[in-house]
Amino acid sequence: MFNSITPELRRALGIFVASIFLSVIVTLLSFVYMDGVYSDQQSAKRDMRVWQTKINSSVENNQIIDEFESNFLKLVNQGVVGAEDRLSWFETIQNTAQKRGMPSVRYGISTQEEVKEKNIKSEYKGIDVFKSVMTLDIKMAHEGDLFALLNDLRKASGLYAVDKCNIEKLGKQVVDIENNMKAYCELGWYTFRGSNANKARGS
Amino acid sequence: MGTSSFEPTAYGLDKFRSYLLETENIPGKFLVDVIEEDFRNEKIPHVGSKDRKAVISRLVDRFYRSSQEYCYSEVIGRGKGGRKDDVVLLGAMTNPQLIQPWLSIIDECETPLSGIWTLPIISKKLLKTIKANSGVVLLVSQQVNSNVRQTLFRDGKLMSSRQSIINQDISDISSIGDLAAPEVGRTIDFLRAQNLVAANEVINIHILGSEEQLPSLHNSFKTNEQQTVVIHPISEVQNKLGLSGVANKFSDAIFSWLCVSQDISMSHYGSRQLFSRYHNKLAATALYITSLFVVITAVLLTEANISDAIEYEKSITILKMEEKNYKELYSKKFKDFEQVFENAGVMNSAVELAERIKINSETSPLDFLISLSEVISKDTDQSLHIDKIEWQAVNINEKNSELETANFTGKLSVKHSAVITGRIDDPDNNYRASVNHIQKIINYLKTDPKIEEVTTLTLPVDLRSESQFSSESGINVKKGKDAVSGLFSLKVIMKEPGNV
Repeated sequence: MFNSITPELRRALGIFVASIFLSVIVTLLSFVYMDGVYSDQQSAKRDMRVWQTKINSSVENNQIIDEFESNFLKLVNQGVVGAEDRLSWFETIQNTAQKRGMPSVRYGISTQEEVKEKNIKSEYKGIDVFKSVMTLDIKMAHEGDLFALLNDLRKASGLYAVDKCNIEKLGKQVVDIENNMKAYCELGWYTFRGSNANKARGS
Repeated sequence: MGTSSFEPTAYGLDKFRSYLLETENIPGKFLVDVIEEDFRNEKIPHVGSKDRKAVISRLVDRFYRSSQEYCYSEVIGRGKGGRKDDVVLLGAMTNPQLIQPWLSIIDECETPLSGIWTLPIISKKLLKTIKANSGVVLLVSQQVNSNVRQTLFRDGKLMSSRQSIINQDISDISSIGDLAAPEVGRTIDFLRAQNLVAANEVINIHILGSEEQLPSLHNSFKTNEQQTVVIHPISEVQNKLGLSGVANKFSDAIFSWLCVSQDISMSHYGSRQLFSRYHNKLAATALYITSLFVVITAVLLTEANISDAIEYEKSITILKMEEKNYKELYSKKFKDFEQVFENAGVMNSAVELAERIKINSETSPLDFLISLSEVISKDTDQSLHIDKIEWQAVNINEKNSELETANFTGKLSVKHSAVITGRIDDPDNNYRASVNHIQKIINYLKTDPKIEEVTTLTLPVDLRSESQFSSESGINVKKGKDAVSGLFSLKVIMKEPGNV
């Protein structure tokens, strides 16, 4: 079969093979070059976007600071952010009890514990929330004393919410002007601190 | 375009060799017009192509055993009667050795030969030009001085062909009519004898002749009831075919042209081996074209890749410039505030969380008592006393509707849950009055928009089927004012403040 192949066909075959070989090589080289440059371009795009994101995030943070700075400082001043100001709470209770002539206000506070509610980590990033439970055991002339005390505590340094409160009239028939009622309440005092992860990053 | 003629002598063959060596080595076609060529019609059963091939092969073997590679066959129609057999035209060079010296020289000169065609079959292509493609046509032509070719067609299909030798002077061809007419007459007699043309059938004779042959042809060939005669001047036919500048003494140029100008068609004669050089040339041409296509494709792809790369390079420059600008902007405006920005998220979270706790902490015993007193104050009867309230801030679980200790940091609204314990002054064991009174209070609570749910835990006179109740009546039963009676307790769920 190969005897009948003419030199012209052999030459054409050689040229064909050579053209295939060269074409593949040249195309491959150009593709490798293009792919390399494409990778560089993607890398440059990523680098540029890092800085673009940094600027956007800085602008956003700036806006956040503008918007929240004064309120945040208020929280710092109110003792909501940072360490608890338990003294101010006790002083407020003492002052109110004295001022209103309440027969007995017994109060206590538990050790501070971190609030582990799931929503905090997801919704409020960067802060840890702590809670101290205050118990109030009050004897009073009427319920107005309790509300006056709770209102005064609102003005103290800190942020609280009443978890529960039992209010009971002492005598059903006898009217005792001073010890007419008693109340037992539990209040949660909330304070915030930057989260550990945040601090570590800051340091 | 031009013609050359070579005699079948040693001198002519040498001249032919020189001609091939001196001219460009382009593919050539071999057109055969020899006396040693035979055509016959055979009937074979109408069968499938494979079987037909076998039958024809047997026929060739029978009639042309010595020249099997120089045979031609074509189904030209079907018989009209009986089983309607296929009519096959068989053609063969009965002495192939005649062309062998020419083929040897072609091979020696390495001229690619694309095929060997036979003139009678090629002459079929002329019928349309001379308007003779219907009926019984006898085409009479002269390609060389000493021969007259007479080919019979029926409705454009070759039926038979015969070459006759005539004794014509090469320098005077004007008396062709006298020489050709007897030969044509003999051929017609033969055809009628072979029943290829019926006895009463008219034969249309078409004669090709040069200008100097025309008078003689007109004299010798006359139309009668058995035949019609049309004489075509060779130059006129050449003009119709678009041929110019070629010799018009004989018809050889016309048939050569028809042979050359045909598209891809199978060679009539010869083995594949004979045309391998031509096939090699075709393959080489195809390979050259493919190579060119491959190279062009590669060039285009490379060009596309390089163009893309250049675009990417430009893009990189722009991106680097943008990055530099961003870097400068950042270091100028924001770099010094990095520490501050880190606290932005904390600020945001702290302020939003404090706000959330503040909103939720509005759910307080104070809010509950104010709302409760508003409801109870609707009761104008002075006999209702509240003795104890056990209040708690709660969330209602969305999935199971159960009460849970309030989460003041959550988005779920914080509601009031309280157990109210109290008394109704018992009007002399008047059960109906007590029941009505407490029911009135419960209704007040239930109809208040702030109240979500009221559950009765204890009633002063609990006459519900699921409860136990006992009392005493009689004249000896004292109605002591100190006795504690008319006690009730209710569980109330109240909405958060602001959600009314």
